Amino acid sequence: MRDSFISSIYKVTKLNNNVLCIVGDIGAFLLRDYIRDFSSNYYNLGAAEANMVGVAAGFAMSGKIPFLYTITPFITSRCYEQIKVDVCYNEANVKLIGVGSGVSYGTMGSTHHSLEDIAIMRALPNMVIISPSDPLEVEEAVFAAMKYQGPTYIRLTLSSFPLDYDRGKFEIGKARIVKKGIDAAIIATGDMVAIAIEAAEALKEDNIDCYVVNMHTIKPIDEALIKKLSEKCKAIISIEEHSTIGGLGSAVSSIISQYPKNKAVLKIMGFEDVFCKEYSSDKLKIFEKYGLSAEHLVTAIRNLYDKSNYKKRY
Amino acid sequence: MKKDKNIVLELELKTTQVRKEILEMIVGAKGTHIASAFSIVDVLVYLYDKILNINPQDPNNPKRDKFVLSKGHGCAALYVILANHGFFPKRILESYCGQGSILGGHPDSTRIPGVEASTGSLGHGFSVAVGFALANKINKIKSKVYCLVGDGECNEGTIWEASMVAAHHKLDNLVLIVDDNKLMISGFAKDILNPLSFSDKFHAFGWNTTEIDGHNFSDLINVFNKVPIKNSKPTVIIANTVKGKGISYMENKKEWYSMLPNEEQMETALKELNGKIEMLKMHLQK
Repeated sequence: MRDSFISSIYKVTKLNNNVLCIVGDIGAFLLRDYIRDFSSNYYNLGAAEANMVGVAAGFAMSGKIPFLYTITPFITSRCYEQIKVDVCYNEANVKLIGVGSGVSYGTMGSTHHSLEDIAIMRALPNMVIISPSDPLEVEEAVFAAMKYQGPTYIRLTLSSFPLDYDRGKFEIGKARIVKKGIDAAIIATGDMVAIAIEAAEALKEDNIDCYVVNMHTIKPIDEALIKKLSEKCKAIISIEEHSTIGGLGSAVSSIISQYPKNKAVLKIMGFEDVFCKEYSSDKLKIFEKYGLSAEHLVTAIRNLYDKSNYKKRY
Repeated sequence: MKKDKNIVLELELKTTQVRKEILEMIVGAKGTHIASAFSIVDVLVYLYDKILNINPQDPNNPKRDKFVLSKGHGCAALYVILANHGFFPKRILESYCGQGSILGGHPDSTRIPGVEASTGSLGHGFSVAVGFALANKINKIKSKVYCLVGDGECNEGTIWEASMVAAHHKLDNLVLIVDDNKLMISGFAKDILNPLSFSDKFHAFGWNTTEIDGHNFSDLINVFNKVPIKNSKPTVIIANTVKGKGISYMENKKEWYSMLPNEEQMETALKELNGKIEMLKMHLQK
């Protein structure tokens, strides 16, 4: 996803010279072509992210489209008040790009993880949150962010292989249905979409036919689709590389819990209010440890499905 | 000579009238931050009257000069001055801090014509101003960006982050004014977090530095004629000011950070301000 952002920012700058790429002292090597070809669109404002966000708001209010790029916790929680006041309150057209979201920096420890970023960004008025699931979707997100007027946060994780499904057009706020189903719906985001696909495949053996939804935009969330799924399916399972507090699952929950026609039980899967204290360069091992592997998802759905059948009998 | 003297007298008259309007507006709304607004009145009146290239009829002109009030709690001064310059009708001042008003206790850029950035939480506006100045450089716009921060506000780390960026990018289109009124909410800055010398600090950060009496118009005229200095460095003006300036019992008293005068105190305040207004008018007629 990171490489896809690097090539996408090059492409959007070529299209629109108002685009700026502002970094907090990372990515100089990856961005070397960009720096060579668009030297006046590139700023390294140093390891001072709070100020970087404020400066970007000033740029945006002067007609520029700044894309701020650094490691996720440093462009979200570290400078949260700048995002709230300078960007969102001023309605400034700033694009925040967090790289290595969730536990992507698997060996670096919790300072470099972001398991709360979606929660805090969701709470900000005017903020759009996009969480792409593969490299192609990163490019689509970057182009969409460039065209969209307003604060946007793009949450990059690791996935480097393109997902194979009929994806249609990318639209902010409109989820993609990777696979249709009948019994249950898995609503996933980021790297969890691939895991959801794997789990849905495995569940065929149990005769459980699952929807797999790629919820690439977490805010504004695709409310219409979630409502539809809650009427159709007996179980909805959200899964995210994020805390179970305030993220995708919370967003889904707040919709269906207030929807009178909802028939689905909801299971929210994510990091359960913990710091991730596992180190591994293989993120799947971390997911395994924290109950977020495809296997865990399969088990969770089996359990839920049994329960919802049980309910149905009475 | 007489002309110069008259200019100063006229400015003094104007600032006294502005102080009176601020006082009446805040007291009328049971608002706060009288003293913080009073310490910046002279600098703001001078900037808006004599320095800034702005047009209230075209407040979003990309070539305008920009002023950012980073210490947003001084906004009562800004509101009165913006209204006086016609950015919005003066009657709107009467709605200050009331339901449905565009004018709150801290300025909102999305609703108030002439307010360049929403501020209130300290240490934000200056970074945005640096962004404005950088954008002007790359857009090849020759206009200037002015920003005013409080001395207490300089406790915030972002002030120094932004200072580094401004110097590194040679923002000689940027002028920062430090409203050095020496007082914070709980007392004197030197007793809370001693700033030592702002001039030394900014000098070490690569800025042109200059220090003035922020209530003295000869100083203000002198310094704003010289800045920004075109030497590839940003310029800071340390304005030595008095919190609560203009009302004797408020000056230099920490209590007046948030207090409102009672009826008797209000009477005294108006008497002092009206007295000064009459005296200045008399001098001007001579």
